[in-house]
Amino acid sequence: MNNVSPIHQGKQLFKKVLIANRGEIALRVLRAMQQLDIASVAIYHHSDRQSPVVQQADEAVEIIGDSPSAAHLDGQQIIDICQQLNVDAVHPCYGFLSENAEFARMLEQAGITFIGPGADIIELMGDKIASRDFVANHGFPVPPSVSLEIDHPDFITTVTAMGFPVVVKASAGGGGKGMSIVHSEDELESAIRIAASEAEKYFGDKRVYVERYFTSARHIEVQVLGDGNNVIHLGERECSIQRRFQKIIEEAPSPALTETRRKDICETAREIALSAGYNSAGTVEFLYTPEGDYFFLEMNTRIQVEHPVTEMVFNVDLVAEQIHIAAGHPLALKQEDLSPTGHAIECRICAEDAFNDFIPATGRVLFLKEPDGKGIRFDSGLFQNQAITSAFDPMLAKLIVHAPTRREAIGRMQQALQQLIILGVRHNIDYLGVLLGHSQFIEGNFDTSFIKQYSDELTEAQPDIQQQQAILATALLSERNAQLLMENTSELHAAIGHWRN
Amino acid sequence: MQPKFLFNGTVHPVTPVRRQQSVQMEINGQPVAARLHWQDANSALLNINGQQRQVYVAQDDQQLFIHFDGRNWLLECVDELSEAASDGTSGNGTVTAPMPGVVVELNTAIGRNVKEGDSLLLIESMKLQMDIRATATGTVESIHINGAGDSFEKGSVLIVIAGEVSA
Repeated sequence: MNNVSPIHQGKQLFKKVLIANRGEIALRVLRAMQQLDIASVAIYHHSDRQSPVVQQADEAVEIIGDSPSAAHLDGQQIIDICQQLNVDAVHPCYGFLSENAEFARMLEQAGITFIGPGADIIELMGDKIASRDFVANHGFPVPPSVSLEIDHPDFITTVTAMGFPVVVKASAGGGGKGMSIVHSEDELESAIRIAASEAEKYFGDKRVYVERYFTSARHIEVQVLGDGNNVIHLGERECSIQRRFQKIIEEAPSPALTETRRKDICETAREIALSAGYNSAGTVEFLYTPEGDYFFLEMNTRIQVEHPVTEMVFNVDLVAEQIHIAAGHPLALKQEDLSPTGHAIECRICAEDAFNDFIPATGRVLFLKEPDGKGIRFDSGLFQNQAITSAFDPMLAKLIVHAPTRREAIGRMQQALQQLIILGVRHNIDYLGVLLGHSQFIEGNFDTSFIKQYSDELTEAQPDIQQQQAILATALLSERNAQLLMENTSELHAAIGHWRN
Repeated sequence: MQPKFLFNGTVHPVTPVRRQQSVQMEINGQPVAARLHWQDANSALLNINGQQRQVYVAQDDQQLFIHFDGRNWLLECVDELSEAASDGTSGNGTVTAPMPGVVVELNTAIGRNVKEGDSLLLIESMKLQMDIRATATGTVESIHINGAGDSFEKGSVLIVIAGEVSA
């Protein structure tokens, strides 16, 4: 990435940074630290002790908790480690404590920099209810919603009056957690109960709210960078390909936007961030309707999973920019100097039975072969023999490609998916290949319901007779028990009697 | 013993017949000659019917993960004993885990009367929460998890419901 801001002469941005996360993003942030010549501390739960970030960081400290997630959510424990090791900044990555204003404030009080926006801005923009109200009050469009407390006596009647379907969301939520679509009044109570329970568990905040659900809309988001005085945007990302409200394919630019619409939506995002005095990397998410209207959904006050597509088309290192801003430097990039090149696509590689309703899968990484080549980036924290358990998110890694056009990017991604080999756990690699080959995806005609709408067509191709023979022959020639049996039988044909009972 | 593989929903018998330079075998009754040249523990060149193809293989207990032709194939080695056992149908009052996960909320107790479709517990696996519902109408006979926070594997028995005696 060429547009990395220069390291300021004579003074390091930070002396030592703790990476408060795990998996691919912890490793991604570690790379930025290494490039900026900043010492790094990894924290890890016992189950991750062999992961690459633990091996490669300058220091690594085990964190303890009732569950691996609980350990990563224990802000006080992390602050104690920072103080013991003289850490001067924490990078929260995404998830866990990345949008926890209290954690940011605790760090600030301890004299440690939180690499993200100020605690007040997280509180304002990271909270879905507060940010919606803020954005609406500044005159930007938001979707219709019910803002009553859920135990208010008029709550149910007000929701019913707004009309179904509606979507229930956790106020502190993100990543699809604590979200569900409700089609009728009798589903409402159970949906709210589940959403509140998830919200409490993941964010320690059980507030939920209800919004009108648009059945045919796209999810388009805009990357921004702000330093508290200025905000620039780095174009949009199209994130409509989702299952269970979780994105699985993201791309930049969006095939849906005209140049005029793109300017409008990116400028709106920039102004929203500017009016909040935004001072980090962030994302403004919008619903985009087939009529070309757009509504503010939420702002993510963190680096996002899908940030690499923006990095590829703008040739910018967003994590490095985020660190520069956190160190108090003004934005080095100027809006007029930024122009995207080509097209980038990201696929999220997940442990799941994608052809069978995306049921989560567990297993072990028995063999891993990463794709490489021009315009291919593989962001992963995977390692040989890693146990894939239900303790964390099912995302295993991210595959990102960049090419001159969207068509070429799709082709490059299909090839890269075929070259990415992960054996030992069911995953969605073949499913992603089928999805990328769907004519409506290729045409750019889709919205957030794409996966449901075309579920009958997004199915596993059946093996032909040659493939079947090759696979079964490979099975016989590699399966351990069959091999033992064959090795111990000198004259095969003499043994046929035994084989056939 | 007859090697058999569950592949793509069907059990396929694969019988080695003779080993010369390659192994002669019968796949679903069809003669096939094949040979693997191992490149490392998981990568091999497959010679089959005069053609050479790259394959990647990993085995986890009874499961075989094969990457061939740019796609992933999962096979299960069929054990003749378990094959016979699985023919017996389990009672439909047995509620099993559809995926590995953790109990979020247990909403029933032993001795409680439940109707088919009633929510028994809320489970979670990798961000996804789901309601586990009664598979039969009857009385909760046993509970095989210890309440919130307890984890279980896919296919574990969670709850057994003693069904109503049909008239």
